[in-house]
Amino acid sequence: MTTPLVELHDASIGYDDSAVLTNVGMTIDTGDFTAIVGPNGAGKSTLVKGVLGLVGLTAGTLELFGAPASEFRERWRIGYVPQRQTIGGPIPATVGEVVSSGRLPRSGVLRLQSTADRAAVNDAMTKVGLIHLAKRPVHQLSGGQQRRVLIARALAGEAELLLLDEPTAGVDVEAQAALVDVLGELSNGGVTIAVVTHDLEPFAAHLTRVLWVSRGQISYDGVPTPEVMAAASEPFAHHDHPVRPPHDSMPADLRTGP
Amino acid sequence: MEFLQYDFMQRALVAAVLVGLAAPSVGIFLVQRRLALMGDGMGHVALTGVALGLLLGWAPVWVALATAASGAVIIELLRNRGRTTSDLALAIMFYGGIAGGVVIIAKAPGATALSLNQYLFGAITTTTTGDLVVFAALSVSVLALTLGLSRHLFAVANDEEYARASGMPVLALNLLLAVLTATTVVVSMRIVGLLLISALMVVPVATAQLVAKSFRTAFVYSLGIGLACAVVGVSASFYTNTPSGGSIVLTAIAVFAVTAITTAVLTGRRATTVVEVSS
Repeated sequence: MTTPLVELHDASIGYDDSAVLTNVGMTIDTGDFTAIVGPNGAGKSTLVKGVLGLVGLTAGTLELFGAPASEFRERWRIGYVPQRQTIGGPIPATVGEVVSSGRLPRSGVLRLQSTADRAAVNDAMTKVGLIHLAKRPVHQLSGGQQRRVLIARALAGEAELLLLDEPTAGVDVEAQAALVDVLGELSNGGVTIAVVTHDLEPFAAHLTRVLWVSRGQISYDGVPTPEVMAAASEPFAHHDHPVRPPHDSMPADLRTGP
Repeated sequence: MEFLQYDFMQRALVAAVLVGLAAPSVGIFLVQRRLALMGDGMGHVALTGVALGLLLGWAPVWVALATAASGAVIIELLRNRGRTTSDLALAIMFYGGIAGGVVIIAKAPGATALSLNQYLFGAITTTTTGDLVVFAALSVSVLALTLGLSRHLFAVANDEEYARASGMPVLALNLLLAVLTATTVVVSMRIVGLLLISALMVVPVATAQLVAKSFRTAFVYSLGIGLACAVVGVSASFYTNTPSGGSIVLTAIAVFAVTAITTAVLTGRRATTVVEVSS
């Protein structure tokens, strides 16, 4: 059995003394394509930010690639694609410049850019289909293309695990399909993927697992059954209570929570 | 080139070249981080250092550098904590800096309102050869670090959350930028003045981003514009008998205005052409 890439035990994650998620446990294994779903404010993004160290653990433990998170130094192995409508500040940056910045965590501060670094950056842009736009200012691209720039930035460090926060939000259907195709190809190429989303449907063909977050807990952790897919397609915002997935229909070893 | 016959103008021009290059090289990262007024705040804090130097009889440049650098580190650490009270703490520190400067200088032996003005608005005639050597060493250090670490400073300025998540030394790079900002403020205080230095950090960058298509070209254009404005401003101040700081900043603003109008007209023409072709 291989070591999980991410392993949370009895973890509470939150800001200051206020935990958004309490006593959650989960693993992300090599090869998984996981969707993290749940109502607004349930703690999906906080879960991802907790794994990345952007939000602290107030209790419990986190292991990354088999090492305690505090001792894990190779953070470039986890590629983060944040939820962004636009990239960067007021000064224009090209696709190539933004993607190159994703290589720096791996290459270090005191080293000059090598041939291998340039090749990795070009490879990342090729994988997301943006190599022909390398010199184009990012702000001139469409929303879908900008999301692909962020994926390429995460890939430039040769990430083995991609954590994406709402990559399809605010993106038109055509761009959504292109984005999901890119993620499918990366998954087929051996990259482990976990994506926070409100909409499972676009990812259905690739998903191996669904994590359902509601009221600060992981209430479902298992395969994407038709029941789960159907429940997830209901509009979360209209539910006063979290959607209850059909636990009883799941194998016992896939159930967590109440 | 009559002004080059004067030693003080030769020194002023060398200082202008140093400041014209150093200020935008720091400013471009501040602008990208949406901290354009950081230099302004540092100028306020540095004033207390200048006043302390005059009061204690120590070199104002070094005391100002120590004070501004300490202030920069405190500001960055407060910002790093990410609390809403940081904003208020910064405001208190900036106002405290200028108020402290005014009060302390009133008690300094032999110091007058003129002494304060020299630092607030720049005074090229008071720049000594010794000052110039110190400014040159500090400016070259600022340029070497901003150029050498430009890709890393860009990565953090462009997306700090991502840089943090991917394990980059974000706090160290931000502290470095804060100290470089403080250093640039102190280097520039004799030429541009503590109250105007922020303009030379920001305005050339604002002009460059109107025409640049990449961060790299924006960086190069900013340095070129900063250098040109500093040299032209200092030269103009000699012929018009006006303060160097104000002349440099007005030159920079004029360049920005002309560039903004030109690009707006060209963009408008291009849009009209596209509409005509498509209709």
